[in-house]
Amino acid sequence: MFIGMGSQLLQGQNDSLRILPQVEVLATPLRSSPTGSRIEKWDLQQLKPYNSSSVADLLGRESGVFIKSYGAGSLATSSIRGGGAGHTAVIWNGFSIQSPMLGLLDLALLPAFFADEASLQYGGGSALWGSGAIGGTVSLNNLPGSAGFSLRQEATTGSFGWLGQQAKATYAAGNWSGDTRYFHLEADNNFTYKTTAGKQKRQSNAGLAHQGLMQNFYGAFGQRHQVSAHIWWQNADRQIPPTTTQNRSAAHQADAVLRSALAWKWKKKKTTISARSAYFREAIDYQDSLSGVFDKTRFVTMIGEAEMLWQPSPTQQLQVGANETLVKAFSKNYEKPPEQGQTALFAGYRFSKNKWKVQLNGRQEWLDGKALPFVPSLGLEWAALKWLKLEGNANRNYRFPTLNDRYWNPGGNSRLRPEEGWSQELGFHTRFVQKKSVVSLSSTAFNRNIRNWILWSVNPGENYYSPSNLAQVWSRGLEQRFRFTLCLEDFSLQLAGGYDYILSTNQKNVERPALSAGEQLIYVPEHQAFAAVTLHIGAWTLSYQHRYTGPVSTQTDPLGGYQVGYLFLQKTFTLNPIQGRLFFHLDNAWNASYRAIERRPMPGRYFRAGLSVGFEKNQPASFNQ
Amino acid sequence: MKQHMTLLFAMAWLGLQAQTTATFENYNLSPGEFLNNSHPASAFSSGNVHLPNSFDGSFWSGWAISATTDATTPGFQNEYSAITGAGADGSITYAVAYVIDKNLIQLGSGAAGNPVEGLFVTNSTYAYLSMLEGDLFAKKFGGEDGDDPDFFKLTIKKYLNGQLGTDSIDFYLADYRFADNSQDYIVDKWTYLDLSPLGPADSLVFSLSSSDVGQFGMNTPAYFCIDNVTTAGTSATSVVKELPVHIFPNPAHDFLMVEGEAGEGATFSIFDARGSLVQTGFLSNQKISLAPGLPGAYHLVLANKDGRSTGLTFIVK
Repeated sequence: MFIGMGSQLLQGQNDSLRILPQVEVLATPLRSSPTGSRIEKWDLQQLKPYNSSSVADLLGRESGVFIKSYGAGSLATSSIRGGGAGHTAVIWNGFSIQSPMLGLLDLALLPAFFADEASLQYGGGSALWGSGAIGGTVSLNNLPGSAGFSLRQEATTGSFGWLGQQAKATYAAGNWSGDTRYFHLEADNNFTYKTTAGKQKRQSNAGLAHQGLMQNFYGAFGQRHQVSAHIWWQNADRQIPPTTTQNRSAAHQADAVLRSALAWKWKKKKTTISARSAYFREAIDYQDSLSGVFDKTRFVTMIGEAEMLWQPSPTQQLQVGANETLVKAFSKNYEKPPEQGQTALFAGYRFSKNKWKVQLNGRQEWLDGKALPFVPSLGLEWAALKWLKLEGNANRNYRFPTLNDRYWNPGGNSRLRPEEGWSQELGFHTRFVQKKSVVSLSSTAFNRNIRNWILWSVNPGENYYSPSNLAQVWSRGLEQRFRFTLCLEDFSLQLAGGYDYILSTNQKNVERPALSAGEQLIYVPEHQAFAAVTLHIGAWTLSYQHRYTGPVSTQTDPLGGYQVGYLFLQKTFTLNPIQGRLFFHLDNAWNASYRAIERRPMPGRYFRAGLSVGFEKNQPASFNQ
Repeated sequence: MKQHMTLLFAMAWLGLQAQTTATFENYNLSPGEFLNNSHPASAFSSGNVHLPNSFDGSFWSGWAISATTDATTPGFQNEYSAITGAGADGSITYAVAYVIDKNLIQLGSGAAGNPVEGLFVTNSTYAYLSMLEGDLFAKKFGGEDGDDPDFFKLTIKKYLNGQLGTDSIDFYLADYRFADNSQDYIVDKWTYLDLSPLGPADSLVFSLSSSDVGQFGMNTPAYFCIDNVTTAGTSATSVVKELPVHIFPNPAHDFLMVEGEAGEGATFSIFDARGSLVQTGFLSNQKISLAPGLPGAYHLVLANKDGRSTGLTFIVK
């Protein structure tokens, strides 16, 4: 595993919080940190600047993911390594949380504040996580906090009527720990933007109000048993702003989410057995008073999973598991509420010796009793030299049709085959460590072919859209990362940079939608680059990041490339027993006029400023691993 | 005597060439109502024209008959309204076209082979407000700054004896191509189109094009409305007589048998679900040999030599 660039902005920040040893009721290391895969991780400290932001903001600023944002606070989906929005698996505490109706998740609705650890695994992960993990996998985990008691509250204000409040209480006593968090965000998002001819316009009907509550419990019984329970409630009400070629909009959408999960782990010296279950319930109400549209959709997901990890020797790990997922959805566009059953058996084996590490994984899944393609994966790591590591993997991946693909009326096609294909990657990672500095450089090449790519179109003799296995997509690219860190007493400097070159082309001529063989997929930039500098001087942190996103094709006219600057300034302070930090974000610092999605303007320069205060009363940790 | 003969001939010719106007008022709709299911017939008929309709529960294409009056509500839920809020000349009823690829108007046996004099056309409320205001899928005409040279064009061609004519008549339902933006317009009144330059026709073919095109085709809502279709021909009946026939097997594979009053030499036309003519010919031994084609739903129009006609839907497996 290669832990990638991580947070370019805020590494090295001092913090007094001490994290308890991880209660591994989450997925096993074979799944969360697979050998030979490029992974970027953010810990609790690195997530702090995003307390009032979404996972879309986190990934958009700190990773090679292209975020397709419909505007500040609006729908945001991802494209990883040239994949589509449905090709990113999103995992929370080991459970897939994408909408089974759409096969994707709106990343703007995932508050970074609700994660204690986030990671992004690039490339195929179907052998680990099942359907959808084709482009990459985003994982959000909750972890027990420090022993004792801590309370932290944060308030943020900013441009366009932005107001944010977060509060988190963490408590631990004996073998029990828990945390409660709450957030509330609201914004008018009535920013101005420039039209193509340079006229100033003001965005309207773009307000939002989010609020959420999360409760986590962790417990240990004796030396062997660990349990955890998680509840995540969230409500988001967002107005849907007009496009730049629309005079007005009165549409709004309400998303209500309840996610709950229970996990248990039993651990002996060489054997770990865990069982998890989850129940998710989501409701989306879309209403447009102008056109009289009122759509309600609902879905319920129930998941049960069991895993066993056996470590016969320090060099070997064997894992087997099973997953059962039941989904039921409701929409007036389904003739009857569809129910979907997914059963999966998966296994993995990791062997480490000397400079080598090998991991084999396999997953067999059945969708409504019908076998899907068997998906194997192989990962390798070779620490060739003290400062050089080579790593790579090859895997098969798939994404089965969504409920809308299968049951939408009209058009749903129950005979659709899953999208499937193979992907490979190979990379090297160098790391030169001096007494006070570290330089790292990495480069990864990837290749992926996906057949039976599902597209909606009007077929001959029909008068409505329906999905078919139309396209074949070949994605390949190069990802480069550089980082230099210098640490002196009371001073640190970090320089980071990256460049991604991605080609993702359809390989077959398709009449509708109009796709020519060899054509780059829409909303996949060929070029993305960033450079970042971070300075820590005493209690001060100053960061600046500059990001370039190349031109993309869209459903109509091409969109030009754009450059966006981001500035972050922070001062930490202590007023016993209060610890605090004052922070200031300046986004789109150079006031660029740009769009990530056609006809969807992005805001010009804007700021957010806030104050975070808290105190903690530590006690010795009592958890046993 | 010669004068009498000339007069008689002229009277006979005038009788033969009598004009018929399809006003769609024969459906007796009240304001606010619409019809979008011509079952058991596969087309709506008025005057001397048939307007094919494909309807299957929640989705449709072809033509609908409408008397809805909503000229202000945007969006597809108001897809049956004309922007005028009424038919041409203030009448109640008109026809609405939803064009997937092409829409057809079949001329009744009395009018087939003669020129179509003309018809009135206007925008649907859905398309009009989408072009005027923009919506989530389609652009406001003129674009962000009002300068985009947008257009929404209706093109009419004809079929005669199974051949698609080369001449066409273009009508801009909206035109923003003027250098002076004050001249830009979106049609909001019933406008008469003279179709006589197309000459004799068996059917008319309507297609739409727009400057707002995406990967999935035209973004502008593919709707328009017509009224008062004036045909010339030998029959001036306002309601076409039905021809009682039965077809089998249905679903069919490579042929259809026709039972009933369709006689030898009756003409047939087969249209696909989008209204495109895919086959035409004469009935022989009560049998129609189907041209090789894709499976799907098709519409058969049979016209007897005595002027009676009917339309039936069948499936090809």
